[in-house]
Amino acid sequence: MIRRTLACAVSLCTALGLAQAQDLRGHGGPVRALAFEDGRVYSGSFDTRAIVWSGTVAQQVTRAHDGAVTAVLPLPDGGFASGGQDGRVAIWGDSSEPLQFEQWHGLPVAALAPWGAGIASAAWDGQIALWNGADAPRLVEAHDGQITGLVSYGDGLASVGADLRLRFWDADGAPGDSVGLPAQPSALATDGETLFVSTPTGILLRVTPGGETVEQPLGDRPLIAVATDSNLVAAASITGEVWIVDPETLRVQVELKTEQGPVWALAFSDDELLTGGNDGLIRRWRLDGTPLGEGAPERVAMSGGSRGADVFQACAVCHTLTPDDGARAGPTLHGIFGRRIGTAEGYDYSDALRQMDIVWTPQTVSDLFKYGPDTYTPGSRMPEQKVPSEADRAALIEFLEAETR
Amino acid sequence: MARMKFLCDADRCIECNACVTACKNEHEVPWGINRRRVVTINDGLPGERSVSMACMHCTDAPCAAVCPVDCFYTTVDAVVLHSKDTCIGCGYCFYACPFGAPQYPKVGNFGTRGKMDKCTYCAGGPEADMTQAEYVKYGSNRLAEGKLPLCAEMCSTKSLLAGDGDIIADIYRERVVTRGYGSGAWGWRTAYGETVSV
Repeated sequence: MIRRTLACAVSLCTALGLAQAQDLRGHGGPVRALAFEDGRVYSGSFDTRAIVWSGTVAQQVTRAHDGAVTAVLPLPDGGFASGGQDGRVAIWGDSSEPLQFEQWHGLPVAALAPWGAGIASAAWDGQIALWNGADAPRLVEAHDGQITGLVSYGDGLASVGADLRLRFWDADGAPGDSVGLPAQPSALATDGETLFVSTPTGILLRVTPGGETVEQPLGDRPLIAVATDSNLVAAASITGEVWIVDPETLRVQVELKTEQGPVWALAFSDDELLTGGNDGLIRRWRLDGTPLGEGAPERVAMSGGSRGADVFQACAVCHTLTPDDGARAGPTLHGIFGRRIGTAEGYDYSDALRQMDIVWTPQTVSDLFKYGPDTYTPGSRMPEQKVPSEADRAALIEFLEAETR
Repeated sequence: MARMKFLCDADRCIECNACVTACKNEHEVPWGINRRRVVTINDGLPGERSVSMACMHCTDAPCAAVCPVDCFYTTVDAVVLHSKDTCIGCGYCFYACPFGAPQYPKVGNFGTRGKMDKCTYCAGGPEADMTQAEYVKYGSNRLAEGKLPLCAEMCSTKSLLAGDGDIIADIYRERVVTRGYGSGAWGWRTAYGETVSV
């Protein structure tokens, strides 16, 4: 089911005290996708939302995907496309519903790119879907294994995948040359001529149009994002470090410590670099490395270090314990005991949950994790998770009873 | 206590895929998922090598560092395992893995939330050793039987070695000295932060 687009969020941002903030705050989970076009920032997150930002204001907050938003692409008409963990692609205008929302892939969408008058999506099923803007997309078997990067290149496309290949595609989607890669690619970017591949070996690859590959080690930890503008390349690591390098020499010009945990997404804006992190923030940086915002406050550890708090860690990425749901993927658990299923105020539940007749008690919460959501609350968007140990379930319930009042 | 590692001697791999087949058969790995695969680097170029690639059970594993639900754990033998009860199939570990090890089934809740699957070093999972519950989720637990991973056991050229890191590194060193060349223990620096010096 397509969920409602949340209304223009000026009031939301004001409520969150963000008017004067320099960082882009509004996502409730890791930011997985970023793009910048014509003065606006486009983002997608684990929280299942895609947001269009004007300045630091969340101008359009959309929710359609059953799972994380993994790719965003601004469109020439002012709209945008989003790709999700659910393998679906949504085309958004400025209305509250997507103009188009279809299942193009059986596994998560990894990247979106302009393709002729339409768009192309690449996914973990190894396929590229070519959509001309009108007909059903044409699927191309592109890589043996997951595709992790796709960009518009020349009149066609370039893609990288788990088969350790960089492949080129012409304007009709026919395969062209391919280049062997020395390491697993995690993302792909281009300045229009040269291609840049981040790898989890900590090496940034520069591939010339002739296929010559140059390796630049940036650190010991995996690189998971790369972005370019006409004069610079940026790559990000799971440690939150970001390097801005010269595209010709690959010499590091600026090194940032974002303190965002893994930085999953990068984009250059006019004269800034945007970093999308595990903390749900989109931080803005001058190109000399100066932060424009303050970042996230240090996270407070869950109370007590009890077993129940430990078990809850697996829930915390989607649920808060406070009245504010923090724009996370799931509803707040505040006041859960005694509450009927699917009734937390302000959360857009699936139809399946709304129609169930369960009241959350220590017993029903325990049963949820004994049998798992697929069995106990079928049709829920909640990922299948179980807590097989009866002692752990009891500890979780004890923790929730204390923390959700 | 042994520190279990894999070592892929790329100069010996003949791309026969016996390791891939042995793994699928031993663990009844579902269709569409390969816990191990053979990839060719520099295909058609000087320096072409084939390597058998799977989870290397890294020291300071990146998958564990990025997992939002903390489903990974390291055993006393230094094998990196995960709990499928906790995994939410978000896919973050795949992007962080230098070896492309995490795999995801196409059929899951909404087609997207299938549990991650990867090489267990034939060491099962968090369930009790050698139980049916462990086998169904993770495959066989050869380590608990005192055996090494079947992929390495099956390797006809002994390109793929498994066992205590010090012992397999010594075997590799001896090989390189004997034959007079070696392109390195593929992936060791990335996985374990060290190389095998000869």
